[in-house]
Amino acid sequence: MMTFARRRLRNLTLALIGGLLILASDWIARGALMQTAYISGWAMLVLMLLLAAYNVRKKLSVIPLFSSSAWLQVHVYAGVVSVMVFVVHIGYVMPNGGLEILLGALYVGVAASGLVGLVLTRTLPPRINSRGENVIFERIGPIRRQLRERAEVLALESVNAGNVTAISQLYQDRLLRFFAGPQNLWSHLGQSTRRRQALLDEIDALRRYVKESDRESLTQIAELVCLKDDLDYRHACQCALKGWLFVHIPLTYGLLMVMVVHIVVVYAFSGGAR
Amino acid sequence: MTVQNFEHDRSAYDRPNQKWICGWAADGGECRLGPDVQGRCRTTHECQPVRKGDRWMCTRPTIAGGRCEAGPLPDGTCCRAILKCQPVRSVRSNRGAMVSGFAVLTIGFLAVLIGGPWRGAFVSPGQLSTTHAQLENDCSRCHSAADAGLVGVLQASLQPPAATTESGNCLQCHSIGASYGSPHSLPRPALDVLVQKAHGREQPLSMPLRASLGAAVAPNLARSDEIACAVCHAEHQGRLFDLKRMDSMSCQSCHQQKFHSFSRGHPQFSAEYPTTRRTRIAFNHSTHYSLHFQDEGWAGDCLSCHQPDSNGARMVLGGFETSCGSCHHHRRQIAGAGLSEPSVLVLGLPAVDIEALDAHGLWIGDAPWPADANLGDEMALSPFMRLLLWSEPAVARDLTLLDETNASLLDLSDADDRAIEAAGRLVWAIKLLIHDLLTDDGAALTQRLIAALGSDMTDAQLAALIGEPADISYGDHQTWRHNLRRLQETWLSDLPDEAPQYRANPDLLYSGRLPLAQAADLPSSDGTATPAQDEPADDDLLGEDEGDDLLSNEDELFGDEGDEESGQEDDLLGDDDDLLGDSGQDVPDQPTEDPAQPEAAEAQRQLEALRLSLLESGGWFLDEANFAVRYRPIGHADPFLRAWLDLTSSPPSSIDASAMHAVFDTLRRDKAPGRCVRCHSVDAIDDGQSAGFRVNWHGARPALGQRPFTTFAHRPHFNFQQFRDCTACHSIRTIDSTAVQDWKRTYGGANAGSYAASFDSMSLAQCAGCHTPSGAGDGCLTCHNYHVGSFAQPLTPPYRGAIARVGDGSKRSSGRPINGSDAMDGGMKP
Repeated sequence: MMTFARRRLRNLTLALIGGLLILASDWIARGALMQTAYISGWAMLVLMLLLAAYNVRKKLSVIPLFSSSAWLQVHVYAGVVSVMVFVVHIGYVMPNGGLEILLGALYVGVAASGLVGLVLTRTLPPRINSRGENVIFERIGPIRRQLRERAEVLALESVNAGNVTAISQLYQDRLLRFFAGPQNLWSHLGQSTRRRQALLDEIDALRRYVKESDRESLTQIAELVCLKDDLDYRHACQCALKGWLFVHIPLTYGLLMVMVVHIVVVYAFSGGAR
Repeated sequence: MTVQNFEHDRSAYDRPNQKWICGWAADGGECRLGPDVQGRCRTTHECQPVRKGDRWMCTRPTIAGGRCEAGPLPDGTCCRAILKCQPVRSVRSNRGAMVSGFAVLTIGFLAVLIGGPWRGAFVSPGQLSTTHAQLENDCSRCHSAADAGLVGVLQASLQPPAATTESGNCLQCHSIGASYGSPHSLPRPALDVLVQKAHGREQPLSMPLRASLGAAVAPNLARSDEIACAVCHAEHQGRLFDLKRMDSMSCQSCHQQKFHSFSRGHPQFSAEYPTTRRTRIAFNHSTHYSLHFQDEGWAGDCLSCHQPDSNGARMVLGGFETSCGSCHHHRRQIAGAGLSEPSVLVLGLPAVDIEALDAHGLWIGDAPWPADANLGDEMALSPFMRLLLWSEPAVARDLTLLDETNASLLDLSDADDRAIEAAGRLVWAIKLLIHDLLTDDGAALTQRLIAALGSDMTDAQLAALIGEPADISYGDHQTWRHNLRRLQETWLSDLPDEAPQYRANPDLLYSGRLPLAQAADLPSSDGTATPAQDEPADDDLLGEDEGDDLLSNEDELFGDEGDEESGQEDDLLGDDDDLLGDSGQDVPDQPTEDPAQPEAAEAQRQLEALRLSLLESGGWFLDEANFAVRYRPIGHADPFLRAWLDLTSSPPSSIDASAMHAVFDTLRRDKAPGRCVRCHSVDAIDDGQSAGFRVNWHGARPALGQRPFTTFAHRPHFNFQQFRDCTACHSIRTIDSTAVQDWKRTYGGANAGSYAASFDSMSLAQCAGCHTPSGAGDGCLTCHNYHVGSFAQPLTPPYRGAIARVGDGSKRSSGRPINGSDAMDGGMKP
C-alpha cells in the first residue's frame, strides 16, 4: 500500500509537471502570437469550478461520486496547478486595472487561505491527538462545564472541611475565570504552555500552607486545570481548523462572481483579438 | 482521564448540521430539545411528565440526571423549569451566512462600480500607453461595445465584434491601407510573391524549437486577412509599455525560414546588399572618389553631400547647389549655359511640299508658306505641336495616315492622294492651332493640353507647361505668346482672315489657288456660304488695335524705342538667324552702325546688348531661321523642361500617348536641351495603372509615411569613431575603364535594377559583431518593419470624425507594393 508521503510526492510531482507543461505551452504559444490569455482564462474557469465542486460534493454526500478523500486530493493539486495557470494568465505581471486587481486579489485570497487551510489540516490533527483525548468540537462546552463544576465542588469541600479559605480563595481569584470559558487561544495555537505552567506553579506553591488533607484537593484541582487546558488546546485547534474556511469559501464565491463579470468584459472589449 | 462518554445514556446526541443550537451550549448547559428551525427556544422544563394511573411520573432521561427527587407537580408539570435561552447559529450556519453576506457584498460592490460613473475606470484592465493616454476616458474610441450599455456589453460578449470592426477603430487614426488585416499590411498578391521568393531560399540546418513548436500549434496567421491590431499591440499595459514590442519568435511563427538569432541562421544579405538599384542621380562614386576629388583637391567627405534625414535613418543627398554645384556650376555641363545652350523647338512652321499640294489643287492660304521652313533636324513637326494637334481626332487621323504611309510633309512626291490631302489638312490644322493659341487668353492651349493629356491640370502645372511659372518674372518678349504672334505676323499675316474662313468651310482646301474673293463664294461643307473676309468678330480680336497694343507694350519694355514703329521690332530681332540656330554655338551678327546717326547707333547697341542679355538668360524666343518659336532653358531645374518631362513620362493608359511619347523622347535625348537626363536617371515604371517612365529629380528621400521592410539608422552608428568614415562599411570599388563603361551603360536605359555598383556589397558578419542579444540587440524589429507600405501619419482624436471608416469605400490610402524603387539614394537599401 502506498504511504501518504509517497502519494503526496507522486501527486505533487504530477502537479508540478502539469504546471510546467502549461508554462512551456504558454511560452511557445505566446511566441506564435496566440492569445494565450483566453486559453489560460478558460482553464482557470474550469479549475475554479472543479475546486468549488468539492464544496458541493461535501454537501451532497448522498451521491456516491468518489470518496471525499479523493476529492480532497483533486482539490489540493488542482489548486496547485491553478496557481501556475493564474501566473500564466496574468502574463507574469501584476494586474493594474480595477476589475482585474479585484479578481486577482480574490484569487490570491482564495489560494492563500487554501494554502493556510492545507497547512492547518496537515499539522493540527496530530497536535490535537498528542494532547490526550480527542474531543468533538460540539462537546467541548459540556465537558468544560463538568470540569468547572468538579473544581467548584473541591473548592467548597475544602472550606466546609477545615474552615480554610486558601483553596477557595485560589479558586475565586484564579480558577473561576479559567474554568468559565475557553482560555489562551493564541497561546495554544502557538503551542505555548507558559500560562498553564504558571497556574500549576501557583497551585503547587499553595501546598505548604494547607493541611495534609487539603493537599489531596489541590492535587485534584491541578489535574482539572490540566484537563481544562488540554480542552482549551483542542478548542483552539478546532477553531483554527474551522476558521480558515470562513475566509476560503466566501472568497471563492466572490471570485466566481467577479470571474463572470471578467469574462463578459474581456469578450465584449476583446478588440477583435481572440 | 476520560472526559467524554459515548454510551447512549451518557452522551448527548449532537446535531452539528442544524442551523440553530441552544444558547446555553457554550456554557455546557444546552437543553436536550434544542431550538426549532426558526431559531426559537422551545424548551420549558427538563422533562415532560407522563401519567401512569393517577400519578405523574418524571421522564428525565439518565443522560440529564435521571428521575428527579421532587417529581412532577400535581398538575403534571415538571418541577424543574428551564430558563429560556437565546438560540445561536451553529458553526456551519455561521459560515453559510458569511458566504451569503460576502456574495451580497460582492454583487453590491460590482453593481455600484459597473453601474456608476466609474465603470470605465473599473473595467479598464490598466492604463493606456503614453501615446494613447488622451483616450483614457473615452473607451468608445477603440471599443465598439463601450457605448452599448450594460445589455449591449452582454450581447457583445456573446457575439464579440469582428476583428475588422475593432481594428477599424484603430484605423480611424492609423492609416495602414486597405490590407491592414493581412500580414505586413500587404495585399495578398504582393504577399504571395514574397512568399514564393522566400520558399526558394535555402533552409537553415537547425531551427529553434520554440518557433517550430509554435508554428505547429498556433493558427497560421500568415493565411489570414483579418489579423486584428490587438493581436500584436496589446494596450492597457501601463503608460510606459512599448506597444510595438514584439518577440522575434513571433515573426518566425509565420516565416517558414526559422532561425535562432541574427548571428545564427539569419539569411545572408543579398550579394548586392545594400545596393538594390542604380543611384537616381547619375554619379559615379568610384571615379569621383578616386579621380576627380583627388584632382580637384577635394577636402570634403561623404557627409559633404550626404546627411542623415530628420530621423537619423537614411542618408539623404543634398541639393544641387551643395552637392554638385560647387564643382559643376562653372562648367557648361548643365543647363543655363547661356547662348551656347541648345534650345528646344516648340511651335513652328514645318517644311511643306508646296508644289505637291499645288499640283493637287490644294489651297493652303494666300500668303506664301515659307518655302524652306524648318529644314533643320527637328524635321517636319515639333513633337509639342504634334501633341497639341493630336487633341483633335480628325487631325490625329491625318497624322496617323501620314505616319502609316511614311509620307513626309517636306516631300510628298511619292505620296498618294489621301496622304497629300491629309498633308493639306494638316497645314490648315497648324494654322488654326496658331490662330487659336493667339486669339484667346490661353483657353485653347489649356483645352488642347487637357484633351491631349487626358487629365485636368492646375494653374501651376499649366504655367510650368507653357514656360511661365509664377515664381519667375519674364519680359513680354520672352513669352511664347509674344514670339508666336511675331511668327504669325511675319509668315502668316493673312491668318486672322483665313482661319475663320477655313474653319467655316474646310472645302476651301480644295479650291486651288483661286482668288480669295472667289473662294469665299464656294459653298461650305454644310451648304452655307463662307463668311466674308472682314468679319467683324475677327476684327475685334486681331484688329490693328491689338497689334498696336502688343507693340506698345514692347515699346515700354525697350524704353528709348517707344517712338519706333512696330516694324522696328522686326528689325531688332530679325537678324538672329545665326544666333538662334539650332547648334546654339553661333556668334550673333553685330548690328550695323549708322555713322550719320551716332545717338541712334548707340541706342541700337544698348538695345542689342539688352536683347542678347535677355536671350542669354533663357526663355522663349523666335527662331527666324527656322520659322519657329523655341525655348531655351533658364538654368538648372528649368521648370518648363521638368514639367514636360514629368507630364509626358508616364501618360495614363486611357489615352493614345504616342504624341506624349514623342515629346518625352525628344527631351530625353542625351544632348537634348537642358540635358536633364544626363544626371537625372529615367526609370521605367509599371504600377498597374500606368506604364511609362519616371525622371528621378532627386536622390532617394524618405517619403513621409513610407515604411520599407528593412530599415537602417545611420546616425546612431556615427557615435562610434570607426563608423564615422562611411567607407568602413561602404567600401568604394576601384575602377577601371571597363567598369566606367559599364557604369555609363547602366544609365542609357530605363532599368533601375541594371547597374554597376560603385560600392562593395556588405555582409551579415559586418553587423553581427555588434548586433548580439547582449550587445546592440538582434531583435527582428531592430532592422525590419512589420507594417510596410505608405502610411499616413496618425491623426489625433479631434480629426477622427473627418475620416471615413475603413470599409465604406473612401479609403485614405492603399497598401503600396514594395519594389526596388524604395531603396535609398546612393544605391543603398534603407
